Amino acid sequence: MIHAVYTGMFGSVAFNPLYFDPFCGEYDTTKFVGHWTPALQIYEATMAVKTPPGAGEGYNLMMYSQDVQTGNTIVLSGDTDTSVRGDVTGLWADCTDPASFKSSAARSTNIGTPVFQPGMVAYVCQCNAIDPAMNFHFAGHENNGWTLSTSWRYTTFYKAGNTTTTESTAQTIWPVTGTLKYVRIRYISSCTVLPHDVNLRIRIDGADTAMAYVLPSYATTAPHLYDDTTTEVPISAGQLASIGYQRSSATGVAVFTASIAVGFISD
Amino acid sequence: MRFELYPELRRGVGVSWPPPTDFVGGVIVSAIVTITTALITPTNSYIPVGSGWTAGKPVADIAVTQFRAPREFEFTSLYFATSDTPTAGKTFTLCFNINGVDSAAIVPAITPGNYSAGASGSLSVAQDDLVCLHAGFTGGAVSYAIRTASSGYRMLPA
Repeated sequence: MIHAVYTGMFGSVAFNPLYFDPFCGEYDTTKFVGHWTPALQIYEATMAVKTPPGAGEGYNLMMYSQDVQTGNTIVLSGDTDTSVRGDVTGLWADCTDPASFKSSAARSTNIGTPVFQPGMVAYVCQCNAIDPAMNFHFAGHENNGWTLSTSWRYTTFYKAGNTTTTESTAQTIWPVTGTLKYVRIRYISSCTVLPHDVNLRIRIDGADTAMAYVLPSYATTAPHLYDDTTTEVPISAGQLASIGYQRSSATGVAVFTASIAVGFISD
Repeated sequence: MRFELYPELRRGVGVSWPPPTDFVGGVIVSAIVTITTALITPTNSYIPVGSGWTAGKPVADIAVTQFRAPREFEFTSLYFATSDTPTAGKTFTLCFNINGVDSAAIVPAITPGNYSAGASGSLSVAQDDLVCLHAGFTGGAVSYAIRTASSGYRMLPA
């Protein structure tokens, strides 16, 4: 499966430098943001901006994996072009050590004077570790800090935050029939009163599926990785997919943040 | 061919290459989560395909919504949902826009009484094409929030 993922940067964005989540579009100027993914091979990438960088200036696009650039740098420069394409041929590495893994991220830097303008990045990647026919769909964020309560809350695919108690506003219409087949959750869940679990569900049409997980909490904010490589859930075009979660207990001060990758193979 | 640069990847992961089929399916899930009501007007109706749409509403400037296709592919479906159903006599549509031109190939339409719609078809996108979504309506101005949109695609293996 070749999987094209498109991520955007909108509003006044300074390439000064800028790190952004390649799957959910969040960005940050001071640290890496992104997801823990199974290994993904990156092929072509493009970058588009509203106006040309200007004479003698330009923007670099570089893919990062675990704090290290992977593949080639793509450069958009000059006072004419507003977009550029190139072969990255990079690899977002698999997560083998949860404690030291840095999220996959892309980075843009300005060569000349910082310019505030909207832009967009697109790239093609393919699953390289589990099944080449599988693509991945993401939710959450490396440091999203989702709100937790004992009431169920919901989030949608390709969204870092903005969870809601109204599930209908978090549902994505799945456009292709196939099978959800792999779930990877990287999370931080700490609580001052233990035990304290987080229930997380992949839901279809407002109902729980077999992809139902109990994520233990801990006394520290160390990250933890949860993989489900066996559960398969069919999904049809037109069905509504969402992610639900709740705290198992209301006691204790708690912190919860998560990034989720859900594998999918189309029929 | 590019994988010849990375023979270790083929060995290391134990997967077959190339994939068994020439044409494989895929999904672009475009999460357009509108936080506030997005006013759709004839000049304020362009939407990016893909994630990261933090503004949460359509805009008039098509240039800020277009991505440049990194490789040739084919859109196969498009779904979208709104928070309100169109009033009598109005229809809310969404289509792909390629290089500034609306495509009639896959155009779901939400009609009165409904909150979502989907359509399938075939729309080829060439490498370097500029792609976005364009919302439209018939029967008079509307003020609807596009809650989410998603599209399926097929892409040739590397």
